[in-house]
Amino acid sequence: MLFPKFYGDPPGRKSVMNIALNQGKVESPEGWSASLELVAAQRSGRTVLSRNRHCGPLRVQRPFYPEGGVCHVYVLHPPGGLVAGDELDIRVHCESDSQLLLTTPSAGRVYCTNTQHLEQSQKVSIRVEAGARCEWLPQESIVFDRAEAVNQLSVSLAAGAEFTGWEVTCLGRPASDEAFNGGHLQQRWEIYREDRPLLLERTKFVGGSPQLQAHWGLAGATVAGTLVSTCLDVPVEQLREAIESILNRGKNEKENPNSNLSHLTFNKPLVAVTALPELLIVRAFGQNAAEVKAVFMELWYLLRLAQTGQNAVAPRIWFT
Amino acid sequence: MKLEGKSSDVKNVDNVSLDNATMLFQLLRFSSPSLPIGSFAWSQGLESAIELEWLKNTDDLYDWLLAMLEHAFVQQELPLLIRMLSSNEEGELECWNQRSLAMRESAELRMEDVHTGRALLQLARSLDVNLAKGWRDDVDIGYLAAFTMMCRHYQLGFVAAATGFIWSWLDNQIAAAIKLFPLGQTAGQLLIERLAPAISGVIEDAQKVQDRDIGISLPGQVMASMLHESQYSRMFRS
Repeated sequence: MLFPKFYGDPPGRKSVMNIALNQGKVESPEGWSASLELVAAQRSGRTVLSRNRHCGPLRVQRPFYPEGGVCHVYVLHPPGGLVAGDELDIRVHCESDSQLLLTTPSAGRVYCTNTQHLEQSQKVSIRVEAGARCEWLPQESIVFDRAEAVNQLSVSLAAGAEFTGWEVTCLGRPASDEAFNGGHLQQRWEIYREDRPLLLERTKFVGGSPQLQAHWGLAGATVAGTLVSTCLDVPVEQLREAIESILNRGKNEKENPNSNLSHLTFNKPLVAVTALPELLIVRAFGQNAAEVKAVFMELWYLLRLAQTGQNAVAPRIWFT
Repeated sequence: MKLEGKSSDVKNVDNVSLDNATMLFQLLRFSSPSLPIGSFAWSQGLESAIELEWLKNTDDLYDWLLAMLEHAFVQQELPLLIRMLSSNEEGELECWNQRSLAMRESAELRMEDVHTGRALLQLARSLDVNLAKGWRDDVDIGYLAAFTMMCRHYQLGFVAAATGFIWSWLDNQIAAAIKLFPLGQTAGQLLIERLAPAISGVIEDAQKVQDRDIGISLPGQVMASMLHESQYSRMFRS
């Protein structure tokens, strides 16, 4: 089976994920669709890409091995951003016992759409088999004012499969004085353990709407991040302490009177942790993607240490 | 004095007939805050939103509750309720129940759902509600699915069920706010009065939601709920 079969949809109802999976290579009338299919397989002590196919401007060059057998893969999208009608479709299958880390070399951009308001979407579907671990750790996505962005992550886990993933999203570009005044962003997380949904989360942000400032919405944050992991081996109290110390460590450097962000609501990120029965979730509100990523990265080190007993080595591209 | 006119006015507002008075009575009864399922112990993030000073006055509270109605109820809770009420295939209620639980984004929101759901299931079982008797003990049940069982037992349709469901939530949120806030009983009633006109629109809009669009997360409420877990002093369990 190359592609994940997703379970768990109500009887007789068409799966959202099947719809996503059956699309793919059809180019939208305007826009540049691209798809990428990866299969990670465990071969004599290390994980290799036994399949790496792309269609359109989306690709993976050679994998990197900075930490033994774990396969680090950089997903490249040479155009560097999504314009009106673009659709990226990324499908990943991690075979039994493989260890795959996926990241992107730079921030993803979703530009302002056209007058037809065509959607600009990225759909990532990941299937992880027993004993395998998949990590989806892309750099932040910057959603420009008046973009029509759809960002969907669907994960299907076999019993005993591990997954850690994050998304950091910036709405508008406050540093360039561009607020998110129009357009939409729709985000979906769908995580299944075999036929059981563990997390079905859908958020929708409307540019210029009161929800961006309202406390039930984004409370004035322009950066929102979510980290999800099947690793429940680190107690939430320990994660909270780690978050506290990371945020305080940055505090002295941040107290720069000339900082043009000092008037904003979150001069340091607001980060919270929760543990559902089978998933750990961390969420962050902030004004600065780098600060949110720094917290997530430290937490990822802790999770990895708990999972493997060894220190993780981060993809080198994160520091360039 | 136009007695005729007056009597027809009364007739116009009297939508409850003798035929369905018993149904209304049952709806009122299991939507009542005195139902022994412990809903009073939960605030759904309200306690920490107040602690964080996100909600400082009744206008803030009004915006918060209206957002829950116009987003969470329209896009998630009521569309789930419609489908649970009409589920007939074997396992369909259980399937929607699973999806509903997967939409609880924090430990406390999920815990509240599972605790009140379990308590209502026990009550339904003692009232000989058939669907409740058939529910497997090792399967977590959320409040919506247990509420659905009661509605189906008493043959309540969606609009009645949704009204009762919204009522029990709103009454509970106002009761929590009165304990957490400098908000009096009368001010609480005035707030319900301000929100009441939105209810029929909420129930109507929820019926237009397609399967693939079900589910909405309000990040601020979720953040408040998650922060509540480590809040220093707490009155409520969520």
